[in-house]
Amino acid sequence: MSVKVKIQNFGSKLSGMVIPNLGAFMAWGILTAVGIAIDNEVLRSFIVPMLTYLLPLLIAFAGGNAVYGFRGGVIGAVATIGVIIGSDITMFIGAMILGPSSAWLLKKFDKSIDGKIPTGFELLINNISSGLIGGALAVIGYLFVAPAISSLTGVLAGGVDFLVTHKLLPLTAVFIEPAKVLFLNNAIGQGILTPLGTTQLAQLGKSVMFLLESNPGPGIGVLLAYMFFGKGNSKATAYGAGVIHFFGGIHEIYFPFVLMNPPLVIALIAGGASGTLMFSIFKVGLIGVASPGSIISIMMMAAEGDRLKIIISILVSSIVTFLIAIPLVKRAKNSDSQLKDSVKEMEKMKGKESRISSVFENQANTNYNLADVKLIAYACDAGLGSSAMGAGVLQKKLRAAGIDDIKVFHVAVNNLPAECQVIVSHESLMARVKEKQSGCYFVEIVDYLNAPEYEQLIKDIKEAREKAAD
Amino acid sequence: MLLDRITASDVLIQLKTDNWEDAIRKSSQTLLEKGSIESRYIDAMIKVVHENGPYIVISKHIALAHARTECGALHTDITFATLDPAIHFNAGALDPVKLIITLSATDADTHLDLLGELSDILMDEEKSEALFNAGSAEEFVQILHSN
Repeated sequence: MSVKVKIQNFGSKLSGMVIPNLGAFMAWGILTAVGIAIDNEVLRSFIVPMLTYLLPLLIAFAGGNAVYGFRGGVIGAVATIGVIIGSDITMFIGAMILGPSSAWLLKKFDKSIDGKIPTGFELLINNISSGLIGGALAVIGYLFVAPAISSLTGVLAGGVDFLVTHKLLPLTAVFIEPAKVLFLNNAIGQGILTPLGTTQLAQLGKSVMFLLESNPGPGIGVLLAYMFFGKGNSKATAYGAGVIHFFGGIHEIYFPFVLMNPPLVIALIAGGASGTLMFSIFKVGLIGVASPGSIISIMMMAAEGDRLKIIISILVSSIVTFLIAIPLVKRAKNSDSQLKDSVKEMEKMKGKESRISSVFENQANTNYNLADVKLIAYACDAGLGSSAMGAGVLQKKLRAAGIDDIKVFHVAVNNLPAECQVIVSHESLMARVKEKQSGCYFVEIVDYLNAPEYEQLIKDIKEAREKAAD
Repeated sequence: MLLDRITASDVLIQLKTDNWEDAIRKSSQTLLEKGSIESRYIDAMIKVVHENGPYIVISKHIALAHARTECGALHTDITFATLDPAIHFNAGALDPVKLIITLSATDADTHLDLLGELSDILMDEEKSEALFNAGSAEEFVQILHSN
């Protein structure tokens, strides 16, 4: 495997943990923003438990689930509770490490005892092994992983401290932005910048320290890039996230967008650094902590006469981030599914006429990785008769084959969603389907009820999953 | 709407016809008389086959005639007609068609359970053979309900 594919793999694994949970992040962001804005006790009481427990555990579950199904998700969440309890900081990195890796361990264990369990004891043994291994991993997480991640926070904080004392303020972005994305923003903001800022405040009457971490410019830059150049779910979510981030000051809402496409950190660092440079040139500052880091609270805390200069600086940092993020977001589109890239390359090389040629389309099929398939579209003209029937039959067959996590839905060809993985359709409709969509896995059938293609598809999915598992 | 709600009045037996267009027309009369479809729905069902090919032939000897909701479907409903003689739909190996199921659906989902039950029966070769050869509407309904 080439390095590029490996990185893309890693990226798609991260986004696989984050994207399914975007809704939970939104819920948390909305509750937090509204709770702080109207200072409501009930809403505020959600903030910490959701951030500390719910969100990391969801990520751990999704990570485990991707590796080893529901059972992998369960053990991933169990193991992650260890790092959560064993640390004072938000444990997203812990969840992203322990979720998939504990599922992987459990899978290896299951393989090693496969066939050695007496019939009738499978369920019992499965639950006991999940319990024992999960419990042990949680303790290991508490004892070893949590301190390791906490010390990483220490390193990042130390870096910021060093740069501040050596008057290299813009470079602090190198530490601050990655730390934010890993949800370590509070550790840095409250641990270092606030004390430093308070000291300056006493001497100068204002401090730039309060702006370093609360600057919403880089975050909105990334979200803007997703709004204009993103795709599907992430594009749609970026709008709401942008409002919550920029006006609500809940920066956490944009972190998942970066986690699912890690190179974006570069855009954040560049934006953060240029913003801080502008702050330094203008010699602006805040007269207190801007919390949450929304444009509104920053304006409220701005020193007299600094407002416009601060807005300009924030604007500069958002534009810098936005411009650098554009190609990165565009590129990520293609790596959504690992091999779409190469399929597209292939199509390009073969020229336009290949679109008509089903031979080439089949070749594209053989390059498609079926291991990650979660949705199968069954298309017909009206989207309610033959496709509904075929979808029902295929769904039943998948279930009978032990595949529970793939959903088959029926749809009219004209309403095919932008993002499809596998499309099943009748031979005579396939030309229209392919005109509408490219880069998918196509299954052409004639007999909706007894298509031999169903069995082949199920077999291919199973094989792809086994391959991906090794 | 599930299969056990289908009665003998929803079934036509041994319909005489000599081409697929006429077969769709005649078999959809029941839906028209019940007020479940407008007459333009019938034209739409025929038009989609002209435009897209015989994709409504869903399995060997079986066609599921239907069109889009906006083409004049008034109620979600389903009727059956067996053909004697069997009719060619240019559907290759799946020809000739012996049973036309006519579906009208007012949304994409309410009829799914019904289609699910129906596909169980139609995938059973013995049962579908019995449906093709049913001598009366009552017998046909009995086979449908035998699940």
